[in-house]
Order: sequence, then structure tokens, then C-alpha cells
Amino acid sequence: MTTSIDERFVDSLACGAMFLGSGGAGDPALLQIMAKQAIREFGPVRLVSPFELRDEDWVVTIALMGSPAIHYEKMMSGHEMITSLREMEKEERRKAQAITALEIGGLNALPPVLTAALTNLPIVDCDGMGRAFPELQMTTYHAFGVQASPLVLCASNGYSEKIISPSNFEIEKIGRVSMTKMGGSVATASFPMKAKMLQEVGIPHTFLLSQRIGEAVLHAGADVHRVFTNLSRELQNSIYGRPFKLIEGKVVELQRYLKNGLLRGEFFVEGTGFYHSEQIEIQFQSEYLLAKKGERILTTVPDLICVLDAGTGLPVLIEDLESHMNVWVIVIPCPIVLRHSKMMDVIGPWNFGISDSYTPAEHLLAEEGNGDSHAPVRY
Amino acid sequence: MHRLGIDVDKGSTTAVVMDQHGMILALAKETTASDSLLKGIGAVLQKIVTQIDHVETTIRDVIIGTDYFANALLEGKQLSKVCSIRIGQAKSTIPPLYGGPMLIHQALGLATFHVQGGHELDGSPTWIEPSKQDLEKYLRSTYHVGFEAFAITGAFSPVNHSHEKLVADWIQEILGDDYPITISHELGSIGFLERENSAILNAALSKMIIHSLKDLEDLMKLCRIDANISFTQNDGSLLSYKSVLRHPIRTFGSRISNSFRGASLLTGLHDCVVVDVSHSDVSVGVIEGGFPREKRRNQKMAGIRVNLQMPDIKRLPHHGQLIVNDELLDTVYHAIQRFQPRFEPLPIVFVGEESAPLAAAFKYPWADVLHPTHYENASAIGTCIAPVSGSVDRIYWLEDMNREETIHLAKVEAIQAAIHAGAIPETVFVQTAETIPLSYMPTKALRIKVKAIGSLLTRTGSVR
Repeated sequence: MTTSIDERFVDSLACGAMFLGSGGAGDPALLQIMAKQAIREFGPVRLVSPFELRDEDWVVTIALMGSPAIHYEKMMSGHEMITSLREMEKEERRKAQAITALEIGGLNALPPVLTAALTNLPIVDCDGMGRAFPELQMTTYHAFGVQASPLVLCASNGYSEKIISPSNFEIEKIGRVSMTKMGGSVATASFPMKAKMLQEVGIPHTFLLSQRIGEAVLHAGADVHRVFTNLSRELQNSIYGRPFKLIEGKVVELQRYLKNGLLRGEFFVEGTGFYHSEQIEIQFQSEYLLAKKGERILTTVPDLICVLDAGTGLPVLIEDLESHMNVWVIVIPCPIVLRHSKMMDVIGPWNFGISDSYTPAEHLLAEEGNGDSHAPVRY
Repeated sequence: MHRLGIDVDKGSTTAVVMDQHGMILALAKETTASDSLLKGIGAVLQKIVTQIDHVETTIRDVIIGTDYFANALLEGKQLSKVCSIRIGQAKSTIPPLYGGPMLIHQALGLATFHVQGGHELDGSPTWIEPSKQDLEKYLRSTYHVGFEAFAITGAFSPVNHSHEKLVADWIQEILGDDYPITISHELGSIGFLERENSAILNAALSKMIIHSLKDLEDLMKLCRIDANISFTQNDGSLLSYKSVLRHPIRTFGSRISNSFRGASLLTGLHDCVVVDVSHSDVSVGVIEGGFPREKRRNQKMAGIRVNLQMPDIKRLPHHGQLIVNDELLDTVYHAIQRFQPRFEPLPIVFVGEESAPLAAAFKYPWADVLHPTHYENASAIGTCIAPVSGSVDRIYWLEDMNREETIHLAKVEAIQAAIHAGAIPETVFVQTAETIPLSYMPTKALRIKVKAIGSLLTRTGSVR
């Protein structure tokens, strides 16, 4: 079934993508406006299931790479994304039949929509992360054997660069250096593949899911209780799991620092109300990575930790965190495919230097809560 | 050597004269005229001069705290017709003031022109230099539109503002000196659209501020007060005559900051939660180190995203009918809890003209609740004691200097800014210094925010 992405869909998608961003990957606000303008001008975008494509159809992923702070300053026109797609087509000597997403979390849910609206191509409803991650190889595309090469980077001045290597790790490493030289925020095309392949490696229907949760959240009218209820309703019948609430309280002792060029840090949430006298520590590096109570780990990446503003129910990005903010911390169990051993090799907690092992959030929380009312057992 | 602080609220205008030791010598209150900043001021001045003999000869500084300009903006009144000039590489499809109310769009008659250029994160210029020819052609072709002010926003101008400056100079060359120009980097940090919006809204006020200041000077002459005129800005510190002329937008939110700082002075507390009760709202916020805590995200003005400093306030409107019942007490309690720190709750200070019934009914078991005398004049007093500040919020490139040296440089810049704004050098100290790294890229860029505070240099001698 083909869905059409109209302006309202874009608003919901952008809202849902903020939840799947787990505190990172930037605010899609600018791209949201641009995508809506493009749709108003050129008409709705077709969203097709990966299984609707012909095996031979050729698909390219479109995403932005760089620092969101620079993205907000540099102002793109949308042509960067088209150029990266066209350069990819030139390099591979074939025409793309569809485009898809690299990362559904944060602002990267929107570049495929904008590109699709400007080129009249359909979007394949899937992505390679199911959330946000900081690097190219942290995708199901990489884990299940697709080459990222060639990676095409295009800056807003029209300058573009191609990086070709059989190693996806090399591509990420060189790509990040090039991106920095090109100004710190670029459009990229990568992971060109046939639809047959995408059907096997993509995390399916994450656009529809993101739109669904976004719509449910927007319906909740800035009430955090209703946001959580609606979110639970949409997520429990999805490839994600039903979300858990870890705590509600106030952000204290927020620390942010640069470590090896990456934004790292931690903070505590001091419980209020029902959670009075409890406290939880959250560590982050680009995204929220880990939640602990004392020495006991409550959840780690790749499960999604979301910090919601208690006043609006909307997710708070790491860069927007403030001491004294009232928040809810919730955990969304990640799609099962992220727990596959091949994915664990690239996104297991040890890749972020936080823990040597991974236990799914719902298991950790079942142990922790032992049937406790605010940490429901999920079997 | 006296200071005169004037607080202009929507409801009333309050003036207070203080000596250099902070003693209140005279005080007067009058209703504010809805259509004029000056009528109320004129009336309170009349009262003040009758209270003490020859007071006009001893006043060296007149400081005005008002949201009058901000309110004019919200109402779309007396605004200038603005042309916004964007300097960047890609031409964005997103128009300025996106999502703003129609009222303001119509009042501004906004036009936008794109100039190729701008800078990169490291401050280097982009490969295309701005074209004077294009700009001239545009300005000549739109001459009939009758723009009254310009707002210039360049990509990465907080790192390097040379292209913004260049374009501003060209506008002056082409059109002459009669057009107020707002340059975005003077108003905010990174975040193009928010900075552009701030610059446009500031430019929109430029005609009005020129007239208001001229009338104010005339009024002072009439009252034979020979003093420096300044305003207060959104953090409660002073905004010199020159600065307010350039950046009237900075007065936005100043009244509530004055009230908070007044509460701090009246109780002698440098850290406290303040509840200000006015004719229309209950506003709750916190004073940290003598200053209101700043709001960090989603700052909005008339529904438009801006990146101006403003105090972090929880506002509870009561629409002129303040009924002190359990529901209100509960709402106020929760608003206060939002600002209370983790351990050792701060004392709570009630101020504002309508604060008496609420302060009497409010119970708080964990800290003192104070309702100082002069609570009804807290913002005029806060205006009168406003200090001088200098701030820096920029992106520095850590190439030739290490992190510590760069932070030091930023501190020196903030201190110099405070001295430049009129502070006595010996009194200036750095109040806050904060570094904010960028995510998702290994980089030498570091955003540093520093604020320095000092006391006002009062002119000695009797006649200018």
C-alpha cells in the first residue's frame, strides 16, 4: 500500500523522529519547514513499503552529516541533497528508482522527504538505525553486508566529494574528516543498493511508525501523562516495545564536556512525587547511552533513552538540557534486529565505552522493579 | 550624587530617587498612559521635584526600566518598514519571522534579499565574496518601497562579522546615513534564523526609539535634570543611551528582571526564589548570584523564535482578577518548586503591587517566606540600582591558543565590554563563564559565554 506524505504527515514524522533520536541527531525544525514547502510546491511524496519495489530497483540513502549546531547556522537550500544523489547516480552509472533513510532518529528523518519532494522519487519506508547513532557503520545496512561506498558529500556551496573504499569503517573515518573540512554540515548519499537487498537489511516501516507516534504525541496536547499513554499505545504493537518510565524529577549536576572531540557528559535526575528520594544517573555521548540507579545499570544503548520535558511531554535534546528542568525519563526497547550479534558488534554498549555486556532493557527493568508498579514486567 | 530610577509598567509609573548608599530619598507613583511612555514619567517627575528641594540638580543618572518598546512590537504599533539582508552560501527557502503572527508581518512589510557570502565555522570567508553591484541594484530597484531600517544577518557572523560590516557600509554608501542598520552578530550567537529574527525585530523598533529618546531628553531638560539617561536590559543590567538607541530590543523582559533584582536588594539575598505579582500576572523565577536566571532554549517573542537573553520565568496570568484560593496557592507552589535547588531550598520573596494577599496566604514549610517593605516598588528600586554588564557569546577557534587561554581571552573581552558600557574598572568581575562544545564533529570550535558585572561610573561635578 502506498501512503502519501503530505504536510501534516511531515509534522507528525518530525515529532516522532525526535523521540527516536534519543536526545541526539538534532532538531528537524528547519528541514521540516523546507520539506513542507517543497510538498506544497511539488505535491505529496509517495511512501512505499520495501516489499512493494521490484527486486532490481535501485535505492540510495540520503542523510545529513555533521553538527546540528552548524546546520542551524549554515542554512541549506535542499539542492545539496539533490546534488549528492545525482553525483551518486553519475558514479554508479544508473538512475535511482527510490530513496531511503540512513537514520530515522532526529533531523535525519527529513532529508529523504525533502529530496523525494524535489525529485519526484518515492521513499522506501525503512532505515538503517531505527533510532539515532553517530556513525555510518552503526547501521543494519553495514552489519548485514552492504557497502556504504561510494559516499558522496555535498556542501551548500555546491562543492562535492566522493569517497570510495571497501571498508565502511574507512568511509566513516575519511568522511567525517572531509565533512569537517567542508564546513561541518553536508548532505550525503551512500549505501546504494538494490531493493532486494534493502528488503533484507532495512528496518522496515520506521517512517510510518515515526509518523504514528508523532501524531499520537501531537494529539496529547502537551500533557506528559497523555503523551506517555499515547506513546505506549503506539509502540506496544510495533517492532519496538512498550516504553517504560524510569523516573520523573529534576535534572541536577549536569556536566557536558568534550572527550576525543565528542560531546560527552552525565547528569542526575532527582525524583519527585511518586519517585521522591530516588535518583537516576544518565550518561550521554551525542545520544543518551546509559541509565543507572546507584551502581545498577537500568538500561544501555541500543535501547532508547528519552528525556521528556515534564511541561510539554516533548523530548529534550542533549544540547538543550538544563539544570533544574523537570523531566520524565523513559526507555523505549529497541527493535529486535538491533540486538542481533552482527549489530552488537558495531552498536553494543562497549563500542561507546560504557559497559562490557548488553542486557535488553525490559529484562533489566523486570529484575529491578520485581513486578513493581512503575516498572511493569513484559512477558 | 543621586540616581533616579523610573519603572514604567502597563498600569503604573513609579519613580524612586536613591543616594549613593542605596537610601531611598523620594518616591512617587502615577498611572501610565496607554499611548505614551512620557506622560506617566512627566507626572512622576513633577511629584519628585516637589518632594525634595533642588533634587533635579543632584541627580546624575536617570535609569528607565520598561517593556514599552516590546509591547509596541507585540501590538504592531509604530514599527519601521524593514528590509532583511541575508548573507550566506545557499539561498534558504525559509522566510524570516517564519511562524510569526500576521499582525507583525503586516506591520513590518518585510522584504528579504540574499547576498552571496558569509563565513565558515573557522571564520574563513566563503569562496564567493559579497557583490556590491547586486546589492546596489536591489536597493535602487526597491527604493520606491520606502524601507526605513535594515537588518543584516551573515552566516557565522558570531565567529567573523566582516561580511555583515561590509554590507552595512555599502548600504550607507548607497543610501546615506539616515537608515538605522541592525547587525545580527551584536544581538546573538549561533542559530541563523533566530539571530535574523532578533535583528529584524530590533530594526523594526528603530524609528520609535529615536523619537522616544528625543522626547525623553526634552522632558528632562524641561524638568532641569542634567543627567545620563540609560535603560535596563533583559538581565536587569544597564543599557546605555547609545546602546538602547542601537538595540532597543534588549529592553524586552527588563521589567521583571528589575523587580527580581529589587527583591534581592530589599531582602539582601543574592540567591532566592522571587514571586512577582502584578496587575495581570504572577511571575515566578529565581535570582542566582544577584541576577535572574537566564532562559536557555525556545526563547520566543510574539511567537517568533529569537536568540536574545531573557530571564527564565514561569508566568501565571490572572487577567486582573487575583483570587487567592487553594488552586492558585498550589499552582504557585509548583512553580516555585521548579526553581528550588536540589538541597537546601532557597527563601521565597514576594514583591509587586498586588503581592500582599498572596504573600499573606502562602505557606512554605522548608524555607523563609519574605514580603519586604517597599515590595510594591521593587522594580523601580531594581531599576535604580542596575549594575553595568558586559557579555560575550561567541564561537572561538582553538588554533593558536589553547582552551584556557581562549576562555581567558573571552573573559577579558567581557570585562572590556562592561567598562565600555560605563563600569568603573576596579568594580568589574566575571559573573559567569560557560563553554558549550558542538556535537557530532571533532572540531576546534568552542562556544564560550561570559558575563562580567560592574558598578556604574557616576559623573562627579555639578554641571556638564
